[in-house]
This record gives sequence, structure tokens and C-alpha cells, in this order.
Amino acid sequence: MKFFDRFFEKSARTAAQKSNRRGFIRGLGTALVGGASIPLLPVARAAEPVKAPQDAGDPSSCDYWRYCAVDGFLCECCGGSYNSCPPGTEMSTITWIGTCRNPVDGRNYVISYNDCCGKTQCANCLCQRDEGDRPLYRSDKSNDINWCLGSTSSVYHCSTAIVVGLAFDQ
Amino acid sequence: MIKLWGVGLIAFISAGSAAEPINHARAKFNYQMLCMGCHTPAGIGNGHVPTMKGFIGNFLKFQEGREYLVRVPGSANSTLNDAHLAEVLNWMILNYAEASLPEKMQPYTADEVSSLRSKPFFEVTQYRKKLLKKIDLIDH
Repeated sequence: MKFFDRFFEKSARTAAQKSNRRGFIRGLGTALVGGASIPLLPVARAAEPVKAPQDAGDPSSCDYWRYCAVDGFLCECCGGSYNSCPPGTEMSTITWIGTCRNPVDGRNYVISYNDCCGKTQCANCLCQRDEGDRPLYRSDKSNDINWCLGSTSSVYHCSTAIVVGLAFDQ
Repeated sequence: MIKLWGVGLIAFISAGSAAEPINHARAKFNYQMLCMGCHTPAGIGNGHVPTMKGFIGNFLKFQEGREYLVRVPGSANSTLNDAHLAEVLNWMILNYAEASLPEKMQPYTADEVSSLRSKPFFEVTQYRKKLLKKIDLIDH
């Protein structure tokens, strides 16, 4: 027991002589702030699998680059956004897919035009650009289909335009 | 997931087939443009669109099933040429078969796809039901 007493007394005195309380607080502060900043480092962001393309333009305007093949009402004007549905509607999981050229980087991106369903037509910001639209006999490339058929309700409300990838240069 | 990929790659290599190597960027793009609208990004389908995730490999365990994947309307009527259709089919199997992937996976070749897609199904729903009964009998 004497040995333990001497050991702890010695180590406590050594610690008291060689360190101070402010030093501990400083060290703790450094650890906390430093730890919190790690997710902000570019390494963490580079690991994210999907990189959003550089963007320009007004998502509430039919001219916005992602809308090159839209045929319907823009969810951006209906309480949602170009990639999310307004409250009270459900995003159709089946959809039609095309490509649009991003004017900022000049690259073509794959766009998924998921409809939002379950409420009557939004009737704001009608947009009919229809680029690449094909007749109904090419059903997977026709935007005249009510793609809400894949949802609980088949009532169409508005359209989104979600970037799902980069187009492959053939 | 990495493990499954490993299994898939080994199976592909050991098959010793004349199948072309997969260009993953092209295959993914073709899947997105021509298949994903209904089959969904995760390959789980929706309602009347059957799921491929964790299941598609079962069709490769017998000849009729193997032919089915090429003769279904989505494959046979596709605008892809034979080589690119073979590629996207092999890509889908690698990405979505998971545990259903057979140990000895024989990838599709352009020639095989060419021959099979010339016999598309007129009626696919009943045929699929028949195949699913066969799959149920397979020890998988």
C-alpha cells in the first residue's frame, strides 16, 4: 500500500509541476474546435459520391437548363422545388428520363422528370419544352404519359427535374 | 457490397466467356436512360414492375430463365444494339443480383443476345409466373 501511496503522490506532484489548468482547458478547446472542423475539410466533401453540377439560372423559370424536356407545371412554383415535391403530394417512383445540357460547364446531364402526385393540377408555371419527347409508341421516351401511374394516386400535380448523373459521350 | 462485387468479378473471369468487358460508365448511362425510369435507381421496381434487386440472378440458374431476361419487351424491343444490350444486362446482374448471383455466372455475349431477342415474348406476364414457379423449386 505504501508503494501505491508514494507512486500516486509522486505522479500527482509531477503533473502539478509540469502542467497547469489553463493548459488543459486550451488543449480541450483545441480538440473540440479541431474535431468539429474535420468534416469541413475538402477531403470529406470529395468522398461524397454524387457531385452536383455547377448551376446557373432561375429554377422557377421554364428557361432553366434542367427543364429542357419538361411538359407540365414546375414544382418550384407549386410549393416544392426542382428536385422535391410540394407538401401533401407523393413523388412518383417511375418516371421518364432524358438529358439536358448544362450551359455552365457545357456537359450533358441525365435528368429524371419525376412527377408529384396526389393533388389536383398545380396550374402555376406551365412549361412545355419537350426536347427529345417521342410519340407514345416509344413510351419510355414520351412525356405525354401520366407518370403518376406509379404512385398511390394517379392525379398529376407538378413536375420535378432531378439530376441523376452525367451523360456518357458515345 | 464489396464482397458481392468480388464474387461477381471472380465468377465473370472464371466463366472464360467471349463476352466483352463492361464499360461501366456506358452501361450505367444506358441503364439510366432506358431502364431506370421503371426499374428505379435501386432496381426495386414498383407495383407491376418486378424487383431485380437480390433476385435477378435466379433467372440465370436455368436456360429458360436466362433466355427470359433477353426476350422480355424491355430488352428485346430496346433501341440498344446487341453488344450494348448484352453489356447493360451483365451490368444489371453484377449490380443487382447480390446473393442471387449464381456461382458460375456466364455473361451474355452479343451473339447470344442477338439470337434471343429475335424471339420476343408476345405475352410475358403468364410466362414469368411459370418461371417463378420453377425458381421456387430451385434450391437457392
